Amino acid sequence: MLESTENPMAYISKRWESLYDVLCKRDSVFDQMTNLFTLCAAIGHLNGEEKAPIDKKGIFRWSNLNSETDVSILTAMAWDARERDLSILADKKRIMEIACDYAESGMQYLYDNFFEDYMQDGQLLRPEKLDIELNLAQILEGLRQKQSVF
Amino acid sequence: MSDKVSIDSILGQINDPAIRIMAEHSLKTARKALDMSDYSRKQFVVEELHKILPRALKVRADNETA
Amino acid sequence: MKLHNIELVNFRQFKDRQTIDIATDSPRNVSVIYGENGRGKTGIFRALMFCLYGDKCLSQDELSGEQKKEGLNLVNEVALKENVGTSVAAQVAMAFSHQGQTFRIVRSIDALMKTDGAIVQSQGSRVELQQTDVTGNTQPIETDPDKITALIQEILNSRLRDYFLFDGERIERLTRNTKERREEVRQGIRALLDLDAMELAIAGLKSLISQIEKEISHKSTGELQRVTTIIADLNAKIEKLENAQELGSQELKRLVHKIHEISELVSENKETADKEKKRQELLKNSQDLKVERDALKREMAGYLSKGAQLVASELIEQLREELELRRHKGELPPNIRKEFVENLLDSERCICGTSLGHDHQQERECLLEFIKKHYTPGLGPESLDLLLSLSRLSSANTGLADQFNRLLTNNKKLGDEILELESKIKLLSDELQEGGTNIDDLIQERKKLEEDKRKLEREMDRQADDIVRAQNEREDLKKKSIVLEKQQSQVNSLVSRRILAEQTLEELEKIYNRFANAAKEKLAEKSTENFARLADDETKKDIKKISIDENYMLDVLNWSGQRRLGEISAGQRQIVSLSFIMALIQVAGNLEVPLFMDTPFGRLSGIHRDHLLDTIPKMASQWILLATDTEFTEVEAHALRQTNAWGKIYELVKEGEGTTRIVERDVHQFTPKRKSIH
Repeated sequence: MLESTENPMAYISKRWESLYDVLCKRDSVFDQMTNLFTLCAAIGHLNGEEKAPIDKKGIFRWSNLNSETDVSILTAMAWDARERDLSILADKKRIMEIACDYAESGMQYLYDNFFEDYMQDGQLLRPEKLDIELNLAQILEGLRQKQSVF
Repeated sequence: MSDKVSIDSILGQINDPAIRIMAEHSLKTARKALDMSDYSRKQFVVEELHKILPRALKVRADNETA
Repeated sequence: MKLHNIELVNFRQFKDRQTIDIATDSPRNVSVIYGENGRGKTGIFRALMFCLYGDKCLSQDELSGEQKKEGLNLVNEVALKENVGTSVAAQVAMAFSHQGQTFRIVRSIDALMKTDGAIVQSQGSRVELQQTDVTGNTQPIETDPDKITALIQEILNSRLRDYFLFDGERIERLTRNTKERREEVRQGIRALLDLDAMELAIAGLKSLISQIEKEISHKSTGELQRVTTIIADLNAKIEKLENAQELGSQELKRLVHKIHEISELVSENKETADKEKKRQELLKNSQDLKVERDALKREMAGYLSKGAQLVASELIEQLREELELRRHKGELPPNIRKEFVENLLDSERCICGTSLGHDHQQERECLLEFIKKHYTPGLGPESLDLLLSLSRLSSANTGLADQFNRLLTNNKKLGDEILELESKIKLLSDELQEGGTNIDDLIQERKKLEEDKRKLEREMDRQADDIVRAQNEREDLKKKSIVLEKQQSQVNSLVSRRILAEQTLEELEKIYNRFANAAKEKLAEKSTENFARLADDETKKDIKKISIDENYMLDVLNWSGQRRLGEISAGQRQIVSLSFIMALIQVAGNLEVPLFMDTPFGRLSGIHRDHLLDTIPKMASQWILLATDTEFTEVEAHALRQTNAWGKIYELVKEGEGTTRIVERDVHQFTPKRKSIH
């Protein structure tokens, strides 16, 4: 399938699919998948780790991103990742590729530090009982202060 | 005294009306059937008996409700 | 039935109209029809059978099925030849009396001779039954052939028709000791006595029963019973569950009430009233806090969605600074597009009018410098937009971090408060439990009741589910049972048919056995009686009686009870036959039929012949002797005259080719052609 350069696809690993579904469905923690994706990408960037998705699954396109928030943040991350070369600013395709790699490592981080204990056979058990919001918030807080919470 | 022995009169003396109807009809049909060829005889009798059953059963039912 | 006369019109050899009057006045009831062979003696008998039953042939003709249907040609052929191409009718009219009433039956049949000589005869015959009243007037009373047949059947059973006419040959055959002849006797008896009809009726019933049984087993599968049982079980189950539900909800009410009571009691108790009150308060507080925390949770979720901003806040700021710098330096593209400026260079003219040709190098250089400065790769027109977004984010982020912090702090605070409350509640509960024995028990009880209530609620939910499932299953089964019931009622109807058929079969078999035995006994008895009258003393020395065994085989027994049929003489056998035949007719037809015999005198000894001539007129109501000239000689004529039974004699005289005339002679004067048989 030809990758569109103007409207590239965001990919995640197949193993995160159920997590994305549970966390982004109606009345759940995140409004949209793009929010979670961008957050994971941000976490990945903060940790400075890029990781390619395995068994890629497309979840949305560039056009779904919020131009004000998501696009700005992902663009900034890509600029920083490529020696602050401004020429990347207009290259949606490359920005998306880098974002996917960061999001992959970011989600892995969340898994290792929280979700892993509550999952079985790739599914999250009893999400309603987990107080996900609080836990994620604490992780973020920790990261923000460059401290590990756990 | 008559030397004649008649089956018809004996059949006519059967008490149960439904059985009497069946018996008389079966004999009547059998007599007719004897004029037919061997292999169609029995079939003819059986078919005729099938036909008379509903009437005989009705007589039986009427008698029972009476 | 007593025969009065027979009138023939163009029937067989008898051309035009000819009549025979039959002797009826007792004791003169013997009529003799005398004629050479081939003159048509049998023809008289044929006329009788045609008139009575519409028979177009006799069994002695031994025709096959097709030929039997066609029958023999009954119309006089000379008459046909005289009227080629025209239909000619043969007619037989017979006057008879029965039970004091006089009737006349007239039957005719048409035939036609074609030009090629072939004869075509119509299939059916026309028939009319007339009655003669006391004044001698004859009126038609019936023309429906079926009704006439039924009437005649009542007077004279058609099964007997094979036995009205006996010829010497036949009589002889009856007792010959061969398998076929024994079989013939057996068949004759069975036919005469309707036994074969009975047997066929019985066989038919058995077949019928077997067919019905097959249908029953085909249709009845026991499925209805199974389904009905299951439905009954389901009904019981549902009822049980509904009762349990009823009980359950009553129990639930009771539990709630009791719990409430206990709570009140606990509150009322002076020692613990306050503690209980406090406990309730704390419970409420804890509940409120939980609600608050849930709200907080939702708010948190909202902020999480903006989490990326938080995490990347520094980076956002850095990029913003970089872009701002570029803008400051003027390196951000203006609102003029790069392509536009390049176009200007190509067209060598500026929008303000200044020439930009190659001779205006300075201006060109200026623009090129402009392009280089302002159009850095990567910095397109959207860079300004990006800068704007970044700026907005940046300012939003300042507030965001604080709010986020606030949420986390509040959440923690709430969590701590809730924990604190819960430990206080627990403390109080424990205290309440420990203090005051009566309270202690009450609180224990309440705890148990609350547990029971929870259990009961769960149980009732399960029951409700079970009820719904059972009701659905019952609905489905009910639909199924309606279909099966229909089938079952068909089966029931079949069963009652079978029962009736079986009862009829039982009845018929009983009757058949009784009747068969009775008839057999009667036949044997009558045969023996007849034999006693016909046989001479010598014969009677050897033979005591005639017997019929269970297979309807004829035999004679000597005085020691031994079977002797194979050992008696031909003449004796003839007497035996005659005795038996007479017995047949007696038992089956009461001998009220005119007896046609084709001179049986052939093999009889003198005494036997005399006995015959003497006895038969007394036994039969009418005796018609068909005699050939070789067998009815002066000897026989003389013997017959001696009996005083001789009433009529007709001679059949040949008139021309294919025609015979019936001529009445005087009984007293008549002289047979021959003097004696030998």
